[in-house]
Amino acid sequence: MKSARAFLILITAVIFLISLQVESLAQNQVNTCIECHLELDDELLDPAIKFAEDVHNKEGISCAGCHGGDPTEEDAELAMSEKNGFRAVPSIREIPQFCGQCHSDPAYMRKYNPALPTDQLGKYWTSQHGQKIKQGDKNVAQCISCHSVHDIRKTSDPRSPVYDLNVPQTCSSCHSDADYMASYPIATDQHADYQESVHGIALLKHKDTGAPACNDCHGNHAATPPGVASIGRVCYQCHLAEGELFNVSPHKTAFDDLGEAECSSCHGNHSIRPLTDEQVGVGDESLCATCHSEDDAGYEAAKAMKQALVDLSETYMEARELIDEAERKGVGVSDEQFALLDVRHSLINVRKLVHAFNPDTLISSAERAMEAADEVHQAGISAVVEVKNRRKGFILFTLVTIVLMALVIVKIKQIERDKVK
Amino acid sequence: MEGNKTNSRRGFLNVLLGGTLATFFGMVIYPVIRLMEPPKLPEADISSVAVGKITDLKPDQSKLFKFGRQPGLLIRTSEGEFKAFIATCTHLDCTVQYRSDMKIIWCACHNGQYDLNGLNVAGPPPRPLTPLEVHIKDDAIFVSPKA
Repeated sequence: MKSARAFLILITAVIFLISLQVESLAQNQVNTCIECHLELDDELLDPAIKFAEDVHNKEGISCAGCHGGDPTEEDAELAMSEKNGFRAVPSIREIPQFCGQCHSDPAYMRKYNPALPTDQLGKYWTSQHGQKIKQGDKNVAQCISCHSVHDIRKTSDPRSPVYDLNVPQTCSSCHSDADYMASYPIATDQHADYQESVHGIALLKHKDTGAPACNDCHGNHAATPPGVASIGRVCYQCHLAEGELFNVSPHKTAFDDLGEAECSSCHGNHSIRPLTDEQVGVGDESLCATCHSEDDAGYEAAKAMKQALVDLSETYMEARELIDEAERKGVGVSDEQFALLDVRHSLINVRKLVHAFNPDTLISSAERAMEAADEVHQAGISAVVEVKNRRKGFILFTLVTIVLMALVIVKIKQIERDKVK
Repeated sequence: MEGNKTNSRRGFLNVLLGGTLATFFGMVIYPVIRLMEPPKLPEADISSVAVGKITDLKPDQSKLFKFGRQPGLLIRTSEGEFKAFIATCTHLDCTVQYRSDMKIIWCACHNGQYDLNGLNVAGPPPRPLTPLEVHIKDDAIFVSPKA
């Protein structure tokens, strides 16, 4: 009985040791693809070097994960044989399906990242790029045009070409190349315009990743121009209040009747500049005057709205300067700063009200905001007067002290002279 | 000889007196000049702010209050819990508000949205709101920076 138990323990130990050895061998398994390609040159060497940084490699997916073949086979011909399922470099047209075989499979992707969408391929076929590639166009973007190849990184990695801050540059690498785009009927100045736009400055200069890049308006895998009918919806993602006001304004019907796109007709698209009050009204920079002329009601409405905006804006700016000056000079103005915040918000809301194109509504809101602005402005004036009074007090005190000291010195000298006499 | 000694002693005393007077004037005038253009001081830390009474807010209501130089937002959730945040949107510094219809904290400037834990859940805000600590003492609500 004892010998039977000892035998059983021995067998269990041997099985355990063998399983450890097998696991160890698997972990140290040689990838002959990398080994061989590191011995090669140029484009055959490149993937082997780059792949160390690739997100797939880091997740344990080797070359064979995409290209098939047998990475344990020492013989190159056998490793890359059809028998072992080897697939060489896919053609441009094959790439979407090549990546999509895994990325469209929720069950497969769940093993690596259950949160990662698996609809990229479906969306891609609806995009301008996807449509054209189906027609045999080999120049349009597919997966690796944007994500790179063999050194693919997560989109959250700042080194990825599709990281938020890098998207405009990635799109522009084709879309700004006039020669490359020569056979397509679209402009190539979008990136140049975007860089100077309010959105471009926010994203590229101020690194505000909340600001829209190309894909936020056009979509990414389903990239396509938004079109007249849906352009407003794109902008309303962030500019909701403006959209709600516009949609109940008289302009909505007029724009629909004329077939004009909602936001871009006035503000442009890639080159949207920071807004100023000068763009309302009828001056040289006015957007309203593009369509409205002196003989229509819209012209007068634009003039009235601008005046209300300018009055409120100037009062706010003056109040802010006064309060900043008072703070700089040591007067406690935290209450006034708090009140100024309210005025700033009222000003923002009144500016949004332009999109209702109803001067009465805008002017009455501006008047209400103006009351608060006047109060803060007055408080600012009082704070600056307080600064001046304090200065005068100090100067007076200093002068009196100096005069007093001088008199004391004169008096001492006089006493000394009297003593000598 | 005696006269020379007296002159040198008097000269030394005059230099001493002059130096003392110059120092004195410097001590008076320098602070006065500095007070004309004081350095920008950082805001003093706020330890606690009284925001009102429990009865001021019904469930699903909110209130903006002054928290130092910044606006604060106190929310009484529909479950009756009090939550407070710095009400400055982390996108472009607009003041956020509670939307009882959507049960979110909302920024009107660019449609930024935060959940009732202050977490940025939609729109451009890059970071969550800064949370504040709410203390209830008897009937009064106090808000202080999160420890």
